[in-house]
Amino acid sequence: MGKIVLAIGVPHAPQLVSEPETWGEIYELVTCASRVGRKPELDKETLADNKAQHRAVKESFGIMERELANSRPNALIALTDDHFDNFFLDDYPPFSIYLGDRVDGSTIWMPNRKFEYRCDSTLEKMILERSIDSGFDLSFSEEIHLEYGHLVPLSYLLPRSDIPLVPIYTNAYASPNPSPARCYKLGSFLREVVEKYTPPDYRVAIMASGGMSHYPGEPLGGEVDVAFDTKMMEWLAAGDGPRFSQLTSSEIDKSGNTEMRNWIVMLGALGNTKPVYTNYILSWMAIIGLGFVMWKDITK
Amino acid sequence: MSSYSINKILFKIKKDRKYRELFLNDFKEAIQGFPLTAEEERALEERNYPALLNLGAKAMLLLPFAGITRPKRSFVAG
Repeated sequence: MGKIVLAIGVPHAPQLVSEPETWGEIYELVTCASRVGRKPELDKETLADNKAQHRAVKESFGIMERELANSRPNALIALTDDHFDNFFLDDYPPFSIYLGDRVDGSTIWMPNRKFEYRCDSTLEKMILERSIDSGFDLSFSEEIHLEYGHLVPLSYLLPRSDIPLVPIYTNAYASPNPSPARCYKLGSFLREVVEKYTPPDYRVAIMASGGMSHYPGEPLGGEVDVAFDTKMMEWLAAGDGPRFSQLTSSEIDKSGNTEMRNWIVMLGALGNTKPVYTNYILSWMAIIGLGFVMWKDITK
Repeated sequence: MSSYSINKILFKIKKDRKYRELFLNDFKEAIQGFPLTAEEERALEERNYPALLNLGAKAMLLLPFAGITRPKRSFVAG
């Protein structure tokens, strides 16, 4: 019987691997279809503020990187959403797991870097096969290429690429997307697989990558629903993961939190566990709420 | 649904370098074979991002398109 030893929720905004001097250009791009206009909050932010935000981001990633290494996991379940890099509307999976021994990745946001990771194909297969028995019927892919949804956080959290991954995608951008309740159930199922079927003392960590509030390329581009993010951070700090399963798709989509679906999958594996670390960084130039939350020793 | 054609074109622009160049250099040729309405064709040709969204373009496919077609900039965003 294995254990979930660590869980981390992190953002993957491209700004996090870009110098703050370039965030203004990214702002222009992300607001290309915006009807919101420039927020007064943005005019109050300076480059020095953005640099401080970037430093805070690196600090949070640094704390998590150390904990991840210390937790000595055999595998890292890596949850994120696809940005039409691997999947398209000809056949879009609600949830898809990768099957393979290794995976590579690259992204325009880190143009000079190539990424390569080992994958835990035994755990991948176990999750897929059990998902059929459990009525989840996960989709699977034997050919994927990791993009910034995985690579932005992994570039910080796994600098030596030395923990085998289990990549899982949740649909967040080809609506209709899976409901929060369904995402949460998938997480509960993942925990059951780890705790019931993996070998004794098998150590599994989970990373969920996404959000929080932002509206890339949408009419609300430029907006951040800080009130909703604040509420979510309160639930997270209180260990109230189950609260997220009661959210509707409309609530998370309207608040710019479609990517929280990745987190909600992870929360389904955590139940009422209280986090050991929380941080929320708000940036009006990066136009996003950046949540960092970590849980330890989930399986007692 | 004809919004499929818009998204297919945006997806090809994102993924296929040759198609991207064709789109930028020979718009009429690039949209050959895609059943676009006049309105959809105009929105693509004029790089009208809000109109494309209204016509069913996926925001995450609009961004890389804006990355290569916005004035002054020449990077592709994911």
